[in-house]
Order: sequence, then C-alpha cells, then structure tokens
Amino acid sequence: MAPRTVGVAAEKLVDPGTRQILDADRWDYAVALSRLLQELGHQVIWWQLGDGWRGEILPEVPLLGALPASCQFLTWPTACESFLERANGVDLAIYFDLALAYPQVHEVSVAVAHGVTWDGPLFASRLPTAEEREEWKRRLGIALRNPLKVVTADAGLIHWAQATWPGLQYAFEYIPGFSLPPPALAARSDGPVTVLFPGPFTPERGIGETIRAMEALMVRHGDLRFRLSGRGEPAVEEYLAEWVERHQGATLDRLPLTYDLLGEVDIALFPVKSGPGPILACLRAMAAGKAVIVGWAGGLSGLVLQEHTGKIVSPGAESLAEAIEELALHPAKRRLLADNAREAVAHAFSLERWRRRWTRLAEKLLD
Amino acid sequence: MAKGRVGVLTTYHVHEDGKRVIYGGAERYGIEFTRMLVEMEYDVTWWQIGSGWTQEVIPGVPLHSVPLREAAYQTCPSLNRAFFEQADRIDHAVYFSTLLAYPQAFERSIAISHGVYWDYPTWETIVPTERHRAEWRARWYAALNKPQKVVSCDTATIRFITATWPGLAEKLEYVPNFVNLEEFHPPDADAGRASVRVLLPRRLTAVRGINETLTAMERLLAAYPQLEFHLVGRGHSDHQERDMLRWAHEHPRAYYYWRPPHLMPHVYRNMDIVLIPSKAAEGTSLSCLEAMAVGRAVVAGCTGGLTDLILDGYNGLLLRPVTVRTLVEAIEALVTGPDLRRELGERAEATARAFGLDQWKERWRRVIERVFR
Repeated sequence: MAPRTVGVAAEKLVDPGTRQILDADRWDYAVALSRLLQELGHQVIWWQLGDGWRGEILPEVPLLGALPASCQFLTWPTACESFLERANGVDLAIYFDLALAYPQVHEVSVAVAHGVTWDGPLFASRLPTAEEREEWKRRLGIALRNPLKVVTADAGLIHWAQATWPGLQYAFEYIPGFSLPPPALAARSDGPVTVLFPGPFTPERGIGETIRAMEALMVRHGDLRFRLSGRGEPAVEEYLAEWVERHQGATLDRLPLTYDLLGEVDIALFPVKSGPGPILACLRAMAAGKAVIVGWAGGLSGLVLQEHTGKIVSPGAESLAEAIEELALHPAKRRLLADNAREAVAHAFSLERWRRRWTRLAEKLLD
Repeated sequence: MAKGRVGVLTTYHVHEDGKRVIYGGAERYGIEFTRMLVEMEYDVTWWQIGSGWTQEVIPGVPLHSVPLREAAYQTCPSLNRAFFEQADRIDHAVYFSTLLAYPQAFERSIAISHGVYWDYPTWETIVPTERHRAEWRARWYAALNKPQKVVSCDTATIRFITATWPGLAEKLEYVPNFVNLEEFHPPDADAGRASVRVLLPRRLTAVRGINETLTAMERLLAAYPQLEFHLVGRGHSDHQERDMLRWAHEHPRAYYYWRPPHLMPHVYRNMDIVLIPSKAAEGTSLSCLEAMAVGRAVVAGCTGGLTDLILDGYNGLLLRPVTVRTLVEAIEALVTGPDLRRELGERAEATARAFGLDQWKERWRRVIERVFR
C-alpha cells in the first residue's frame, strides 16, 4: 500500500500543562498504534487538547497540543472542528476518543471507544438535568454513527450501544486489548501469599472496598501480605500511608504495574466499579501468570472467563474478600486460574493478533 | 420441615393452554432452579399465565395458572397483582423475568434476567415511539428496584443496567448459566471420519443467524466436498420447517432434523464444529455451553452473554459482525485447520468445567441464602 498520512485526535494523552502521561493504558495503546501505522509506511501525526505546544509519541510521530479545550455536554465540538480544519489533508482520521467524533468527522475516519464513562453514580452530577443528559446522549449517538467504524476493546460498550440504539450491528469493530509476552518470571516461593492492588487509588477502581476487604482478611489470616502500588490524589496517598502504618502486613509504594512488580505477587486485584477499566494492565497481570480478581465494569469481564481464567466479583468488600480468601487458601485453584489466564492471553490477546486486526481495518479504510 | 415457602412467577413454563410443553432454555433453567430449591428444602410453587389449570413443574411442585388480562410495555401488572394476592402465604418470591416484578414485589424477593432481548432492529416495532420506550424504561427501572437482588445470567445485561441507571450496581449478581457435565461430555474416542460436520443447533430464526448461515453453507458445501451441514432445531411453523427440509434436500450433504433435549449430547458428540451465530437477544447460551462441554470448536456471534463464554482465538471464534463473509472465513479456518479445531475444542471443554450445574447451584445458593435468610 502506498504511504499515507494518518491524523489522530485525542482529548488528553498527556496533561496539557505538565505533559505528564495521564493514563498508562491509553498511552501504551497510542504508542502501539503509532508504531504499527509507522511500520505500515504511513506518516502519523497526533493532536490533542492544548495551547500550541509540541511533543512526540515516538520519534517522528509528533503530538501537537493544539486543539481548543472547550467542553460542552462532555463533547468537544470546537476541538473536533479544529482537527477537521487543520488536519484536512489526512487520508485517514482516527478519533482516539469517541466524544471527539461529534459533530463532524473526516470522510475516511474511525473512532476508538475506550469504554463506558457513564456508569458511575456521579455521572448525573456531571450532567445534572435530564435535558442535559438527553443532549449528551444525542451527541454520543451521532459520534457513534459518524465514523465508518468504531473500534473498541470493551464488548460491554458494544452491547450497551446496540441495546440502546438497535441497528448498530455494523458500526463496531471489536479489537480486544493486547499484552506483550512477559519475560521469564521466576517461580514464586512458598512464602506468604501476596495480594496486589495496582493503582490508581480511586473509588472507581475500588480502592475503598479493597482496603476494607484487606482489613477483614488481616484479622482472619495474619500471614497474608497486601501491596498497594501506584498513585492517587495527594490526600488519598496520605490516608493510605497512614493506613499502612496501622496495618501490619500491608505496604504502599508508587511503582507502576511492571512485570518486575508482578513477579513479586500472587494475586492481582482489579475490582473496577465504573468507568473505562485498566484492560491492558489486567492483561499484563494475566500474561504474567497471576490469578486476577476483577469487577464486571470497565471491560474486564470481557477478559476473564468466570472461575476459568480468573474471578469476576460483584461490587463490595465482602465479595472481594471472599474471592481473595478462596484463592489465597487454595494454591491449586490459584495456579489453575493463573495458568489458564496466561494461555488465554497468549491466544486471544497477543500483540500480534491486535496488530493483525488493526492492519486489516486500516487497509480496508485506506483502500 | 421446609425452610420456607418460595413462589416463582413466570409468564410461560408450559404453553398457555396447559397442554404443550415448551423445550426452551428458560424452561430447562426453570426445572433445574426448582430442583435446586427443593434440594435446599424449600417448598416451591410456580405461577404462570393460563386459564386456571394446575400442573406440576417437577413431581410435587405445583404450577398454577392465572389469566393474563392486561399486558403493556412488556409488563403484566394483572399477573403480578394476582401472584401477589394468591401467593400471599409464601415467604419468598422469585420473579423469573425482571419485568414481572412490576409494579410490586414481595419484600424478600429475587428477579432473574436471562439476557438482553431488546438489541435487535425490530425491537422498536414493539415500543414504536419515544413515549412508549420511555414508559417501558420507567417500568423496567421500577421492576429492577423492587426485588432485593437481580440475578443476571450475563455481564452484558449488568453493563447495560449500570450504564443506563448508574447506582443499581449493588443490586445485581452475576450467575452465568450452566451445563450438565454428566450428560454433556466429549466422546470416549473421536470417530476417525474423513468428513467434517458442522452443526447449527438453534431455532430457525433470523436473530439466531439462520439466513447468513444458510448462504455461508451453500458456498462452503460447494467448495469443500468433505463438509457436512446439520441443522437441528425447530421452526416457528410447519411451513418454515417444510421450507428447511426442501433446502436440505436441494443441497448435498445438508441435513435438517430435530431432536429432543435428552438426545442432544449424542448429536454434539457426532459433530466437529458448532455454530452459535446469534446477532442479538442472547444470554450465556445453554447451547453454546453444551457444545463447549462436548469439546467442539464453537463459532459464536459477539453478542450478549456469548462474550462471557468465548474468548476469540482461545476457546472458540467470535464473529463481529455476523455476516456471510465472517461466517465463511471462520468455518473455513476450522475446516482446513484440524489442529485449530482440536485446540479450540479442548480449551472450550476446559472452560465449560467452570460452568457446571454444581457450580451454578453453589453460586445461586450464596444469593438465596443472603436474600431468603
């Protein structure tokens, strides 16, 4: 295929002020997609909200912080218009956030929907009246229908959209998340079972239920070890530092979820309650051969087959504690789920598979 | 002495006339659910729509019928009322479909969702205007709020509910459907056949992908002389079944027949590939689980609860969207790839072991013990 130009618009890959990466999962996705498009011979230019600065995703893949940050009903019409006008020569436009695909998109375009952002109890406080929510929904419906395809790794989003607007059968392209093959990890010794909660420490990711579950389990099983790794709001980090001081057997650090970190734990917790979930992080834990416990939100229930490759729990400290306890006390079951998880990732969520699907879609659109 | 009295309200466990038995997944679910409650030492009584006759769901468990009278927006307020009044001596209630809990529900009650059924294009002919849809949603929201717990057979329904009404998450429980592993298991040894047999074990409806499947099979039967296609399922009418017989007659190595549920394990064991190409209205399909338990390579639509059972490329193939092209590609890959077929089948069988009847009962027991305590 002849080299083409691909323009990608995102809301915020990095903080427009500090330029720090805001979400590791989204950044990893952006890097993998850029690398693939580059390898296919295309020129890739990213745009995001910002006041005119310039950064980069990869060498020769610029990130232009130049789209106006004016939000209305959780959509970005002026940023959308600006991207359409300024990136008018691209052969393919990718709207890396679905909300940017309103009100109008390039003729050859695809949107990426990272998950459901409207399933948390505070959603209504962002759009406090029924009229506002109706307007948001109308715009979301337009954004779903505008591009030639909407790519998502969250089957739950497809199910919701199709059940909300019947007739979207052909709108979606389901491209599940990916994980790189992990390095060889040393087998865990027979020491205490270690349970990891990787951040961010937010209510949406279930930090409240997690520490309540940990408190209950510490009373029942003094030999269990708990590790909180990641970042949160300063006040939350301060609270957790105090909490760790008061609870023997728990530790807190700011490490990101790497294979090194995963090599030190037995069970990884992703009890997501709402919002887009850490799909790539969860897949990394599964690829590393860890038993995972996930919430049903955030697309994670599409990664885990109940009691075969992990455990899916309903929201609440009690159900989370029960699940941790079962896996901690039954090493054979823990190993079985972990082995199945590793195999499932190798077959269903490999980077190679993800690249093949994206390549096929890009070729179809650019041809 | 019984632990308590449980009343179960459904629309139809048998046909309204009380004479014809329905062999669907919901009815099989109902029978296993009843057996479980009896094993847990509850007294169980069922109610459904009918003219006043009484039958049995299983020996010793009565099924009473009450007239429907009024039904609107997918709810049956008169049936709900009659159940509430006639079953006033029960301690606990189970609404076998969530909308049956409208407008009122017993204090200690559970409602069951068998999956999203409003995600196909013609759904809006049932609720044709926004006013109708708003009323349907309002009644459903009320119905979801009445029982103490809503048990869903898939996470697709849970995700729909929480994304439509944030705040209902704590009411929901995920109890995926089951397969009887004693009946559905791989054969002792696979027959060394030269042919490759493809099975569609579903009702002959558009939403189950019958039309795409027939076109795909016409192409594949012409291209692969080793291929056989078995279509095993009832139509909605004699006319439709006659048409299907004619189609099978016109195509070499295509067969159309029907078998009762107790013979289905044998049917699955004699196949190589099983198609569950649903386009909508699907939960954690019993047929899909049965095919998996027998160790067959499954090709399924990426819809509803099927994504709770199949990971594409690991234990089956998921189609999005379900079209003739995607079906042909998937079946072709399996026909020409015996290793892929075997690997997917083996992992499907291992997956199905986590969805056995015993695990299903254990998951249900935990919910029941919390609500009916």
